Amino acid sequence: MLGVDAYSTLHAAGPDNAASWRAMQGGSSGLKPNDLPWCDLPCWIGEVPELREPTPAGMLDDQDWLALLAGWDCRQHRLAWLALARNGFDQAVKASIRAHGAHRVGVIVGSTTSGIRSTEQAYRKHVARGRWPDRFDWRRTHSLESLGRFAARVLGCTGPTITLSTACSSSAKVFLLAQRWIDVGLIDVAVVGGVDSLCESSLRGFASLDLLSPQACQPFDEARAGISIGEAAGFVLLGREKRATALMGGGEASDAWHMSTPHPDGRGATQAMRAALDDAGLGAAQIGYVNAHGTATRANDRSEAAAMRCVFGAQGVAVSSTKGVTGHTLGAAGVTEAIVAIQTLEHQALPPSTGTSSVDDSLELDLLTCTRSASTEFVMSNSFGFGGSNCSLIFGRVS
Amino acid sequence: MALHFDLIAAGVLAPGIGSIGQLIERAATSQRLDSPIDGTASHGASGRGDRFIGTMPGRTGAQASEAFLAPSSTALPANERRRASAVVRLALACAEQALAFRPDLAACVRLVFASDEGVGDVSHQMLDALANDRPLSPLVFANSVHNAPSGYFSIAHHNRRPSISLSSGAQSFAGGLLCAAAEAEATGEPVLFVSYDSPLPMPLRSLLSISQPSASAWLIVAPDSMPPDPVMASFGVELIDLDVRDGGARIDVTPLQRPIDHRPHWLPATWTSNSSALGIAALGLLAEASGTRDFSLGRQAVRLSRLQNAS
Repeated sequence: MLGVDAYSTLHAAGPDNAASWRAMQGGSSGLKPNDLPWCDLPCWIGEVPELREPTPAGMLDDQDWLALLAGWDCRQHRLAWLALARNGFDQAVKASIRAHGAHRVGVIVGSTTSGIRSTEQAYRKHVARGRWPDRFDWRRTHSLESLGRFAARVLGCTGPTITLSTACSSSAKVFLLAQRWIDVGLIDVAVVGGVDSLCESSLRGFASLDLLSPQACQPFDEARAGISIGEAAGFVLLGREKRATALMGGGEASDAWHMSTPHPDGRGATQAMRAALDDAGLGAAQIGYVNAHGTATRANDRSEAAAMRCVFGAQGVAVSSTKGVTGHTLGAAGVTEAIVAIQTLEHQALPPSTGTSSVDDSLELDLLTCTRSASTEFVMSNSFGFGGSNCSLIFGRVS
Repeated sequence: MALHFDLIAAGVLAPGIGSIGQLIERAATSQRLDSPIDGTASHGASGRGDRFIGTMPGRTGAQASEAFLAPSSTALPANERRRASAVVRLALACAEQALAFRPDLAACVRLVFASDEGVGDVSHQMLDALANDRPLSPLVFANSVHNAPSGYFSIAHHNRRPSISLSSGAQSFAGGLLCAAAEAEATGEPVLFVSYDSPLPMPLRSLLSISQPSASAWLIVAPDSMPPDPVMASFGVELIDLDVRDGGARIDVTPLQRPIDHRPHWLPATWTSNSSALGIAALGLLAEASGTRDFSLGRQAVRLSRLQNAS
């Protein structure tokens, strides 16, 4: 069990923690018709408005940013920077560093895109001119590990730092890795999180698999037609000290089925949820709410619903997907939705499934269609990714 | 703080090194990889039983510089085998070399896969298509995820256990080793750690000069967590702080016992950018009764020590 010391979330509908919760509770979507100047696919996206180029005044005037800028500048790290600087997160980490020592604070983050948007632009220039752009620093932007190194550098942490990349489960698995590292004494405190940013690779990649919805995504809806991609950054500070909210445990499992399609019966998802309950020492009936993966693809929602029926039985459980608010934030989905779960405990209220207008009854889910006040002690957040990588996290209110 | 694990099997795959037996031979006799070795001497010369010799034939001498292609996994279903990229073949072939000695563990090991730019070949195909406004192939996109090798592994071996795919860039072997050792100790379960690099095409190769494949596989368990079974070697893993400060003053610096990230001269210079080559160098400890290697990981070092075996 780890205490949640601080967190920071940033996405299309939430420039900060408070605004994000208001959007979740109010069912207020941050999705919009795609108007990216560099990608004309007919779809909806979740863009963080502050990242729209040219960069809004303020960020590049920031002397702290300029000092760090050399080589690291890309959409991905601007997104990371904004989240690290807000909600008192940076200050909370600095307090942990003072208490434990910088080398005892680890950084474990997840990403699928990394800074690939910059590489996409660099490749176009290479095609045109036969050489890389002068300021293209591949190691500090494209390379997967750059996010972890960037975050550690911004925060002043010198403990072990790694970046996971397991598709959509990336920034959920980081929580459990932190638990294991603290358990064996590698570190005392962990900064976990994830960032993924809008890029052509994701948009055209999911389009090539016919998984990109032309409309705003409709999780668990009978008319659902695929995902809407969003960008997001999220970070959580975890430690041994008792806090109001805790990571109770979690479970991980692989489908071992197919690289880009979930197991039809959701067997890996079922296994992950059951392992999470075992790890937390809880029964299914004790879970008050599940934040589903709920991507709004026909396959995911069907197999996820099957898995939930397996685990929660006829009694079911209150469930919603919040991807209708943020979009599918891919490598950042795990942490973004873990933070939603944490906030449901703080506010004792459950968010609706935004974007769903006509629930697919064949899925037999107790889907929340409007916000609900509920005395809740334990909640679950699920992330199921490409390559059949499944992760289920359970958070609890600690009295 | 120190972690401990027992190595119960290992695999290695790179031009000129196709088995643990060949690696131990190289390390023990300290030959350069561009000089031919006597194939008949590679088995048993180190005094170790055939039990630990890999089943993969290696190529030596002049052949080592030719294109090296790992064979397809026979465990993968035919349709997945066709889809698997070169890096998937490399990681699986190396993993399966280790698992050849413990096939009973293939479905139940936890996985830790670590690579710098593992799927770079596929990333290039994707980036090149986008830059030239060509349609993106769905297979290319599905194969462009960093966890493609571990995903294919799980399908091939019906392995539904927790699986990590990570990168620490040029320090990916060190990051993966630390992660795997922590995983084994925290869970008491066997862990398969695979560290790999696969050649990058131009123009990516001008950014990261990986022209040869290299991979090592470590099948590890926390000591005393498995039923008695022959152990190849026992290891300790420590995290060394290179620069611990209290206020402004440096208070504790553990001296490094040898140059950090040491690459023995029997590793080809063409592998300099391969993080996983450090994993191959680390397995060279199998040629010594005991020894220590230090590997950079950010502002720290991961210290791997071969412990004297009781038997």
